Amino acid sequence: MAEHGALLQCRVCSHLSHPPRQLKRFEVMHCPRCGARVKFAQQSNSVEVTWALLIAAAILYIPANMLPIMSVYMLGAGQPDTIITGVYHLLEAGQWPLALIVFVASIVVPLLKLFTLSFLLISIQRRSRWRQYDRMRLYRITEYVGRWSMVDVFVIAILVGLVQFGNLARVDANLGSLSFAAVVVLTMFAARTLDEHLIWDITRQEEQQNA
Amino acid sequence: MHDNKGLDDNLPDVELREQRWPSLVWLIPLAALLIGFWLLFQAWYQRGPIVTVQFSSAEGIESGKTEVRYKAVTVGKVKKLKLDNELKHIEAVIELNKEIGRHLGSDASFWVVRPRVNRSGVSGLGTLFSGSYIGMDPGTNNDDQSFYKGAERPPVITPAEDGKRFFLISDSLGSMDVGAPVFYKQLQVGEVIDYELLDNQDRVQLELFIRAPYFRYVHENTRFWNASGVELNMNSTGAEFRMESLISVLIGGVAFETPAGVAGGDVSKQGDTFVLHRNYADSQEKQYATRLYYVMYFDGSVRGMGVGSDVEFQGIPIGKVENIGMKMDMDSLAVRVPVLVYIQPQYFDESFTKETGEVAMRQLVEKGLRAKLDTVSFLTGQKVITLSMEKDALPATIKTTQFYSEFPTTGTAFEELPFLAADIMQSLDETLAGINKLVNSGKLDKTVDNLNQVLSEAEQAVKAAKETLKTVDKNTLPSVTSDVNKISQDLGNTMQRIQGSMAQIDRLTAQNSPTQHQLQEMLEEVTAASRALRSLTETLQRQPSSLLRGKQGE
Repeated sequence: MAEHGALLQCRVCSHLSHPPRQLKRFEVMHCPRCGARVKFAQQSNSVEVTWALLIAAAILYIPANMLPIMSVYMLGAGQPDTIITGVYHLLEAGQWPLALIVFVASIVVPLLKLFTLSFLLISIQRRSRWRQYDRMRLYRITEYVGRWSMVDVFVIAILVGLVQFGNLARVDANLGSLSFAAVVVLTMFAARTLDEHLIWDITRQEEQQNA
Repeated sequence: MHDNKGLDDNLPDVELREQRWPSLVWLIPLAALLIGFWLLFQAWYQRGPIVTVQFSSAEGIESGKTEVRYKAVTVGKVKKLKLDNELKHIEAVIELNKEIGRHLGSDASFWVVRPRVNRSGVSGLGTLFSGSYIGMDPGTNNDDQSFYKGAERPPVITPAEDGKRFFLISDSLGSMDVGAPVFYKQLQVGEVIDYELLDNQDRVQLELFIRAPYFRYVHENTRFWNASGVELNMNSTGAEFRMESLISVLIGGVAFETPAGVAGGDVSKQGDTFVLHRNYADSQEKQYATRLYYVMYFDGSVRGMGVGSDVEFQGIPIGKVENIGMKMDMDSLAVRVPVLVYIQPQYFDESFTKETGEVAMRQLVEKGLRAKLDTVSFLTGQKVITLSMEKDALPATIKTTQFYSEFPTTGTAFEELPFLAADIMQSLDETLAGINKLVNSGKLDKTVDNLNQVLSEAEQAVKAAKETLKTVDKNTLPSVTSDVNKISQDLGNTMQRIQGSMAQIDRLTAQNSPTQHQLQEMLEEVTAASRALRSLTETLQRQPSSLLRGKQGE
């Protein structure tokens, strides 16, 4: 990592170069040898990418909940279910633990992820120094738990693959499941692209200035 | 800020490029936005119309579950069930999908499919497992509407089946039911799909559906008849048995045919109305519209004749008995049996109208056309009315009365046979009486006496002659000669008297004597009678069945 005032090293071809005296707006640095983009450490676009992924996930969260995700046909009868109607049917059938699991994994967790990541991003952008340690833990929990929402998608995929007995019993995946899978994947990527050290960035900069 | 130390000076400055566009990563939310919009648009676009269908009962219908199917494809779902304002019906709010919504017409029909067992079969068995569903037919037009009345039972024909509908008018429904088969040449080509009582006509209208391509056998002159059950006809032409199919025996049915010899006419259009005949025989009759009604009075019993008995002309049925009544004249206490018949003059000539037919009938009656009762079968005693030209009928006319014109009748044809026999017997009697009279009168006796006398006289004369001849030798010739003269004189007298007797006999048996005439007549009668008897026995030998079925046409 090249520091301001020191030399810059291209990450692709390891070529060294002088940084410019001043970096104007809309100007980005490129390696003079291989043309790859060269960045300052604090100039990471992690926040931007995370925002982009997060917004995409938030957009797809709407159809994921509004469109049916799965249709189960038993003896010719059945209908497509959205996540909410699926939970409702489970509750109706008295399977409230299952309903709870589905509700938490499919609605609460993605929603929490969206809110947590947004909260983290905003706090990073505002250079907040508030409970940095807890925020880091929150980030880690979010990143770890987030992938489990994919269980839903796997269950649908497995059911669709296994339960195809014509009119006797049949499970079809609907468009909602694709949206839902996209939401899970996008939030996972968003969590990945968010640099947790940015939470500590402000502290680090202050330490540098003090030093 | 620059620490220019040795190696560093050879290093190039970093290349600066201008980048006004935000990071490419923003394409992801853009794509998500597009996909999201597209999905929502799809969902919105795929949404079909929401219609309300009224049913009499919600049995088997569940909100959020019951599907609407068209040709076994799910095309919608019941969203909500509610009672109507008067609590008489239930209303199912149905969301249909886009495709069916595009074809939904104002004549669309909805019905609940439940397991159903009726006479024509079992249907909807699948719903035992899958639950009831609502069947639908999107109809033919595109006038969308939001409220429909649901039918109580599924239509017999599957929607959009190719075929034509026809109507039949019948006096009664008989054993017909929805689903009763329609036969053409004993092939099932359609079904009865509906029936209703016509309000003001006291008749039943059946609606038929005849499948493609069979509907092109339905012509304008096609006859439909009730093929229910078994048809057994026993009439003068023998017994006839007819049965369309076992199914029709059990559940009734309709058959149709275009009678041979009748111009079929154009292929019928959808919705044409026909008459449903009671049976096959009925349907095969010529459908002449013109009917002349006459009342006939017959002497003697009309037993063996009933409503529907034929009126024949030379063996061809040209009419029918409509009604047999009884009428009493209060003054004379004479009871008469008026038989109301109709005659279809178009059998004589198809160009006859009611008026010209009537004129022709009058002319025929003037020439000797009479009605009489005719027994067509000894066994059943069945009678028909035959119209025939009588050779020496008393002059008569068709009497126009207040109600129906009166047609002149004559004695029954079969009652003539005993009459004929009686005639013969009578003349035989007369002849015998004449002979008796002749014998009894003593005329013959006298004649015979006379003859005897003459003969005995002749004998005496011959005896005398012999004796005389004996004495010829002994006595003298002159005395012989006188004797001979005397004898010959006697003989002459005798001969004269014989002649007289013979003349008397001659007179009795002369060509023109009454006896002679009577004998001749008797012989003629006997010959005629024996001829008739011979022809009868010959007929019986050839066709013993004619005793039962009547004489067949030559």
